[in-house]
Amino acid sequence: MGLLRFVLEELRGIARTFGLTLYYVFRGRWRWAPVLEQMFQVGNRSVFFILVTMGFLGAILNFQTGFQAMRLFGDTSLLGAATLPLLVRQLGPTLCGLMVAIRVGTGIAAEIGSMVVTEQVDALRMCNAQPVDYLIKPRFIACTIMVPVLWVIGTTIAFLCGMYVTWASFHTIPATYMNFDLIRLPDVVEGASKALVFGMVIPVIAGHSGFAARGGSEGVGSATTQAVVNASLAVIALDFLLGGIAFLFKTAGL
Amino acid sequence: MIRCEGLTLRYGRTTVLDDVGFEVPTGKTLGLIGAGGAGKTCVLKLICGLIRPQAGRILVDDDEITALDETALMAVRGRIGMIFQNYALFDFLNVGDNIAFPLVQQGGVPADEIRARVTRRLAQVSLPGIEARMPSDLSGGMKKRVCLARAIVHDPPIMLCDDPTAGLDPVTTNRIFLLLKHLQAENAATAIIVSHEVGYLRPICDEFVMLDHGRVIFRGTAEAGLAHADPRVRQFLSGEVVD
Amino acid sequence: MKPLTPLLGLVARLGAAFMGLAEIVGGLALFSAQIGRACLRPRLDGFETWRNFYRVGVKSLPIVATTAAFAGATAVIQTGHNVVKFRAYEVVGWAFGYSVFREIGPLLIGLMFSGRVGANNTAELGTMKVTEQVDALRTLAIDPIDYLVLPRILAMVVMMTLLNVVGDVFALIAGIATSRFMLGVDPWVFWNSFIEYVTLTDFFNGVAKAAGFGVAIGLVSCHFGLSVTGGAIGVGRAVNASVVASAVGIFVIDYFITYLLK
Repeated sequence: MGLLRFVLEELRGIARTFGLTLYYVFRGRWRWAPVLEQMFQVGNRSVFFILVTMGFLGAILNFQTGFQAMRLFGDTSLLGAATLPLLVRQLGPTLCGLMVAIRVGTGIAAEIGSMVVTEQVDALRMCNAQPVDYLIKPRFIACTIMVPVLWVIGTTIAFLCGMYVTWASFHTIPATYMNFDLIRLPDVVEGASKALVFGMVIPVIAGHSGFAARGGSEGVGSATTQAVVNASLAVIALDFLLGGIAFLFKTAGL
Repeated sequence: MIRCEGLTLRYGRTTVLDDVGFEVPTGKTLGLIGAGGAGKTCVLKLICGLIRPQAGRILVDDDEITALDETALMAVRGRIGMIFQNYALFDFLNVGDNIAFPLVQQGGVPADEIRARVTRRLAQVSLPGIEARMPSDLSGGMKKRVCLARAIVHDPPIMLCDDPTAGLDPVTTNRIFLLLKHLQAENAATAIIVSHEVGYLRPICDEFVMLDHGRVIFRGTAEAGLAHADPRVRQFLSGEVVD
Repeated sequence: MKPLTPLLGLVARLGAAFMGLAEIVGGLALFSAQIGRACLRPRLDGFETWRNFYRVGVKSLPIVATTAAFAGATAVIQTGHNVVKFRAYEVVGWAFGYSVFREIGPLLIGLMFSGRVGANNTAELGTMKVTEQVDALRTLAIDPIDYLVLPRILAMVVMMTLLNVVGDVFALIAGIATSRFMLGVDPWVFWNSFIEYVTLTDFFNGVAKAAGFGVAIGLVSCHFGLSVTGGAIGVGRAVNASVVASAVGIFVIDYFITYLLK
């Protein structure tokens, strides 16, 4: 029971912060300088990380699928064509989302959390600057723009690393691997909308955890942990939800 | 004028403040004293509307803080200068931008006017020409003085100082209190000062309020406190140990 | 200082980044060697070990169960379109079991475990470090490696492995439910296809990965926790660095285990 109450309470707080953020995005003053600064931070912080992790993901995916294909058909010529849709619509956005939650989400929570415990957030409010407007809004806009960009980069690198693995392990030449026959527009739309939603949700959840920080370094630590857990769970749950909606759309068309 | 009536603040099951009430007339200075964890910081944050009480009323001039929403509070906060216990300097802005921040956020002040005021305030806290440095490069005493400069940059008629000398050496402590005294003489602001340095507080405070475990156990002048029946009050004001 | 030319500046930044990376890798290697040496003459504090087993295992069960259930459900939905299109209902269980037990399950559970337990561990050890509790232990002649690190790493390896098994069960339940309600596949058809095609090898492949992830998360989170400097901000930064390094470790280990256990 206690757990359920905690989860509901947390969800309500996140929804409130999300609403406030949207309010300030449409109502508040717009300054581009902090948004650009945050876009640079998000991209700069995570692009190398996403290149490494998504590269390995592409390699693993093609290994697994390749062995299975060899066992069943003795042929890996359709490997690229078969893995690309899955990569674009599911693994790409989800793993990119998780990596951004880990890299950027914890960063946001740590930053805002230490501002809370050193009373900087109180000082902001004393100077007529609303914390959600001043701290979360630029991060929200930056992530909403940057996560789809990172999704494109991550998916591309995963596909390319998969190409290398297929060539090195199964001797399928890149020209055969580069097969875009099975990918359809709905796959791209599904992947892009997932990336967009993750980009909107991660900074809000991380910021909410940051604002909840209490006490010294212990408070900042637990706020950061809370942020990475909540943001990752949100990515995994929304992946299921959006995937389900896309599935219903696709089967309705059959 | 600041008046608190029946303030009660609880976090979960712990009661931080219990029926706290006092009044500071316009232009007077109140010394808020008490052992650590007595709820002094919470009183200051309640007055700014940064946290909300479970019960009680707070009047700042004619505004009742507890009845105002965040937008209406902005006007009240614009009249208050606050010095935070943990400095609370924005570590993403340099010293000059930190001090200018309240003016920039309020808007309506031309840029060269802002710059002139920042320079003047920095000179006033005897730290001229450090606008371009970052807060992380400053010592504790310098940060406190920058914080003081930021608190007074918009000439607030009300000053709230939360332990302005916490963790500072005696020389710097002396300097900060001298500054507060000068500002006091100059602006005649209504002020509440939270501090443990009773010796420094006595010359600048008109009255004292002592909190103990969230309750007011004493209100009055320092002389009255030294003659008070409660040994805790006498001890705190005189600084000697009474068994 | 004379401004560097842009090219030289780029080289300098690349070099600095590389040195930073080398420092982390080297620090981790030295730390692992220390752990290895401590394991040769194990002096585990019984109570501390038991407490960590409880904290790591029981406290992260709800999150692992939720993650695994979503992973299982998502895997079914992602194959769903083709299954419905080609009426290939008898492969649902196989496709689900192969992808979730081998790959998606351990990977997602590992990332969540790193977020819940690894980050928490770094924050806790980091706080102990900045509040000088670690130094206090040393002055009491207690080796922080024996007392703080070994029980935690042990708990993480054991619990990550066990939680993966529990997670597989939750994923299976969620997979059956999703295929029943979204795809209209009879649970028996799902179960038969699952039992028929998914082998014990697939299951143990996932378990081996989970154990590997446990080692990586344990080593990384303890190392970053004990090397915190600089107060509350330092702790926040260390937690960030720790989960990032754990995620990289998880992917690298995943790749090599996949390659070795083909």
